[in-house]
Amino acid sequence: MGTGGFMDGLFYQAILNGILLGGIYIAISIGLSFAFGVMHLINIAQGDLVMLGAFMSYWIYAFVGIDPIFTFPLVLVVFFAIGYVTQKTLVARVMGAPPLMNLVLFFGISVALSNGAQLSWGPFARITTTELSGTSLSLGELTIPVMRFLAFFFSFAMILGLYVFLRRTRTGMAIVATAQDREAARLMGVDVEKAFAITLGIGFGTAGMAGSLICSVLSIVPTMGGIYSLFAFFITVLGGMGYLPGTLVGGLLLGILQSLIITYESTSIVYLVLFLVLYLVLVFRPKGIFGKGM
Amino acid sequence: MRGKEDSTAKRLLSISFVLVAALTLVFLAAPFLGLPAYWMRFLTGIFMWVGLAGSWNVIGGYSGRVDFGHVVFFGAGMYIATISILEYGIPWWISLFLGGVGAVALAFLVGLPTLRLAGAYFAIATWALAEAIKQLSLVLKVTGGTYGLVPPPILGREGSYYLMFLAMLAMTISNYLIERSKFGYGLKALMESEVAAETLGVNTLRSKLLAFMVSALFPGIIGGVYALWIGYVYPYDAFSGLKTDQMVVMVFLGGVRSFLGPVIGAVFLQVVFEFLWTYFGSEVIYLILLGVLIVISVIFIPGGILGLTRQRLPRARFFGLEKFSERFRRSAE
Repeated sequence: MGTGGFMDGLFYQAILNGILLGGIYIAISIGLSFAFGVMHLINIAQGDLVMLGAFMSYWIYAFVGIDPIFTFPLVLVVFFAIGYVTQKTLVARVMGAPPLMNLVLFFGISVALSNGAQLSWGPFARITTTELSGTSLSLGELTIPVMRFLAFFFSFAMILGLYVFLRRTRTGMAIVATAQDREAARLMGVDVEKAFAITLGIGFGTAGMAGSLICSVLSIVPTMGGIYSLFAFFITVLGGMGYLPGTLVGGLLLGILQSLIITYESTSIVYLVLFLVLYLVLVFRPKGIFGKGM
Repeated sequence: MRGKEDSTAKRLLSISFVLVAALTLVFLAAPFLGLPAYWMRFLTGIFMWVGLAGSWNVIGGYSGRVDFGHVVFFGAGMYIATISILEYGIPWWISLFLGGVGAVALAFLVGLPTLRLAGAYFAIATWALAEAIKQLSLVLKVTGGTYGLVPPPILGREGSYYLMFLAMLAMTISNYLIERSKFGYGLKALMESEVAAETLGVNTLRSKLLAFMVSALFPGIIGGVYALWIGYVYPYDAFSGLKTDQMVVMVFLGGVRSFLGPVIGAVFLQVVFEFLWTYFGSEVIYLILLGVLIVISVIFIPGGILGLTRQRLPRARFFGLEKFSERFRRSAE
């Protein structure tokens, strides 16, 4: 609790912590919003993919000793491949089915993944401590933990990379065209099936990468998927489903909101507030706070 | 030709009617004939899940709205019945009734704003609301917070058995009737195209709301029975997302949009669960299988087990039940 007024160092520290946390949260949700925008697909297994990415980094750390913060490129590539194959083998089969079948499909994947992880790795929380873990930079009265800063930095680098990919490469532009009008894109010679596969690959890849970043700054546990799915949906819905700039704002908002609640209130109401706000936004502003969702 | 078909259908109808009546008698008489406690518990569980899965079929199947928070009505029934007895001393059977009414009222209040949302948004919204209500029950005083409440286990083994059986029977008959009613056809039209249904004179919001309320009634009652059966009510059990998950899997696995589907799915999964529990002593393997089964059923057998029997197996083996439902399926189309 703060000793001085409300606007003291504690307050600014809470905001800073929130922004750093928010950077990671953006990485969690960008793939969800992206896949929805391009394919109208709701990946409710998003949080479980984050969990799997975190554990992949954890096991690399446990066996080879590489700091989780530096293994995200590998996780990104592996999860991209998994996403690509999942689209080609499973999701493609339900694309023509009633719209909610893909929701139910991912629901099954989520249940299988989270319970498979619990069976394999038990119910315990794990934490990685490396040489970088304890270090921090100071900025006046504020402290910036190095790991959190790196995680924030890599998350934004990934988003910048995604932006450049979508705007500057032929494949990226094909995906944007597919998102705008699937049939028109097909007529223009875009391989829509391939665009879908790459989209889901990016969705899975960014989720796995977010897991790596989380593994380096927070404790991880096989049951964490549900919470990160909640975060991902909260951010995506708040920003507008399928509207990527909204995701940036949503992620930072969630990070700051959570940091403030934890600093000034008890942690037990965090989930109540998040779920309630998520519900209310869906009912009253289903297109997000900017009204630009789909 | 037509007359002959009708008489065949009548014969099949009477065969399955006799079959259902015989099964009912067997289940009603079983406790008197010394059914062991283990099997009583096992069957009570099956009855409960057939009822719950059947209720999900109303909103998720007939009206095509994927409800990821259906457990809310079950939990509401548990808490309402328990609080009615503990706080107000209301007789148990009125308390159970209140649980059902409370769940329906909740469905009305929640449904009015939520059912306006498009499919995927509805799914996320119901999930978020169910989780919010769980979190709320963790901090409220009236629900006993994390410690929960301890209702007297008034019903006992036999009482729970019979009440769950009745709930299951009523839910399944209700689904059978919905499939053949004007209301059911309205829902079907609405699921295929909301705009088209609206132009043809189906009041879409009212139909959806009614379906949602019908689907909430039995979970509310069953929740109360469950509370008075096990004698312990706490948020992580009452509002467990896993309960919703199981309802969804049972419906899709058995065969969505058919009154028999949830029955088959629930019986199948409960038997599998019991088997895995006995041999491995852990729930986790069952849950992994749950996830894998839903993926398989969505990709390979979209019609569920029921759809599979229609395609692959000789018809006569199903005591006419299969032909019977096939006929109604055709007449519904």
